[in-house]
Amino acid sequence: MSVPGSGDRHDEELEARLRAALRASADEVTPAGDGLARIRTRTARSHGRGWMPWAVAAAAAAVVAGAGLGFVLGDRGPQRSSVAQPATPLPSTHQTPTTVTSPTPQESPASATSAVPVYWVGQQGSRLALFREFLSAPVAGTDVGARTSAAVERALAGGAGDPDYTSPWPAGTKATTTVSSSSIGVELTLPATYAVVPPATARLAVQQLVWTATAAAQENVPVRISLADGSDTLFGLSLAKPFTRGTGTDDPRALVWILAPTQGQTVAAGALTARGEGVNAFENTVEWTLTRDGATVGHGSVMTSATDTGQRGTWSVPLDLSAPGSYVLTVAEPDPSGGESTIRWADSKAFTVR
Amino acid sequence: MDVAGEAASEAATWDADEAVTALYTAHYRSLVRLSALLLHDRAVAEEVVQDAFVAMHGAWRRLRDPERALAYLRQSVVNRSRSALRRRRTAERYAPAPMPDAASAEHDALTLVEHDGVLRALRTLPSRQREVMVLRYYADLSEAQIAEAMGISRGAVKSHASRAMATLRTTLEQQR
Repeated sequence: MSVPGSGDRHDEELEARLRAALRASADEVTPAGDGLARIRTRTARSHGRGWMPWAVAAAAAAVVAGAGLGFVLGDRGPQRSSVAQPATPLPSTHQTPTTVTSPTPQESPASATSAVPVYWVGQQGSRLALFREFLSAPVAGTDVGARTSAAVERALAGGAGDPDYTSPWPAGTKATTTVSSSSIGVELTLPATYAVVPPATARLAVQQLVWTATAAAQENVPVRISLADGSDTLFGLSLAKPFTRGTGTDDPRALVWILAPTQGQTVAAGALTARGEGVNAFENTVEWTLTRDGATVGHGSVMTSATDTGQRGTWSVPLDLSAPGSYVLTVAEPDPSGGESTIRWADSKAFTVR
Repeated sequence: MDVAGEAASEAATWDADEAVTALYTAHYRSLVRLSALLLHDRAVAEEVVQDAFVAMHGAWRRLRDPERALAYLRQSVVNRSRSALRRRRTAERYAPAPMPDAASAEHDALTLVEHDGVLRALRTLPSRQREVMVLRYYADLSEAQIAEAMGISRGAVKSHASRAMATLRTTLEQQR
């Protein structure tokens, strides 16, 4: 590259130092080795026709699930307002004295904060779905077990960066997570009393744990869920067999979500590229709306990168954020179940431009 | 026909799964390392690269060529790493997470200190400047390739590079 003055001996030396340091740092990174299997698992669903029956079934179940989640959400009302700061560590209020407390990461002297993937439950269109965030969590040590344990704790405890997302687990649920090369074990301790969790919410709660644990462990392996009290059913679901990531028609992820900007982010005035993921549904259209201080200042539609119907892709939209203010970006896809035409699969992020 | 030409003509018949397998074998590790250098987080880097491969699988019908697919992957990895970093910064006001993999014992202490200094200096750069440095000095990309991967003009690559070099010169001189 024609860096000005690159013929200079000092720059040659600096370039050599940069190469050596970057090379050495890169060499310390060894991928887990199962990446291809994980990619294949995710791309395999595009060969089936789809996610549609699942969506329809979920829509049918959503009345029940919505009610159930509402109940759980109600339980978590006070907590939601207390987690406006995304960096809030595991809320200690969720540790009930009657439960067996697993060693929590923040108690370890070796703990450090690290970004972990956490899946949350949110309402999208007529169904509940999983949304992913990367959040900071205290991680005791550097091994994959500590990281997975921290992500699972966070998924149970709640405290999503986006207030539209929640954990469906009863407040006070604790977990002991173990990671081996062939499976992940999560032993749960439920609080003594909690609101009834309906079957549809229960299935999504299990998927939330499975997606979070496998994402954090970087291993798409089966997740064995057990209960500390020895019960073999959880919210009415049998725990006899390990759980795996739902794929194809059982893929629990939201059809469209925003990755950037993030909820509560503050950005300098100027241009910003909004990005996210979306499933290629019908006409492969993601519609977006941008409001500033409540007034619509932009809207349009964009296609995802997915070429086949039912596939998941990415999208991006350049936004003009020259005026300071409180913005909300909303993206939506048409409801693929086709029924109630007003229902959209949507995600939104509120952020500030100054 | 040269080797690359043969590979390209064979690749024209690949389906998306074959393309993923071939590109994974050739580039997965280096892309994870690239993302890890941008993110300082190996595990998230892997998820970022896997996301990129899944997206590439979806776009293969349009790409149809390993070189274009690799360019697509690089662009996707740079974009996704930037997004993940922005999310993490938002979440924790940027206390950079340490690389999970501890330095190996073979490195002698002085080398380690030297590398650490350079890496810390890199980490203080604005993200675009750091991306240019990593793409140039780790990935060995040309100016045009860097421009493509970052979705900016070659002129912008030049100016990010010269600013980064000026800052690094100053920072590293002070460290000595």
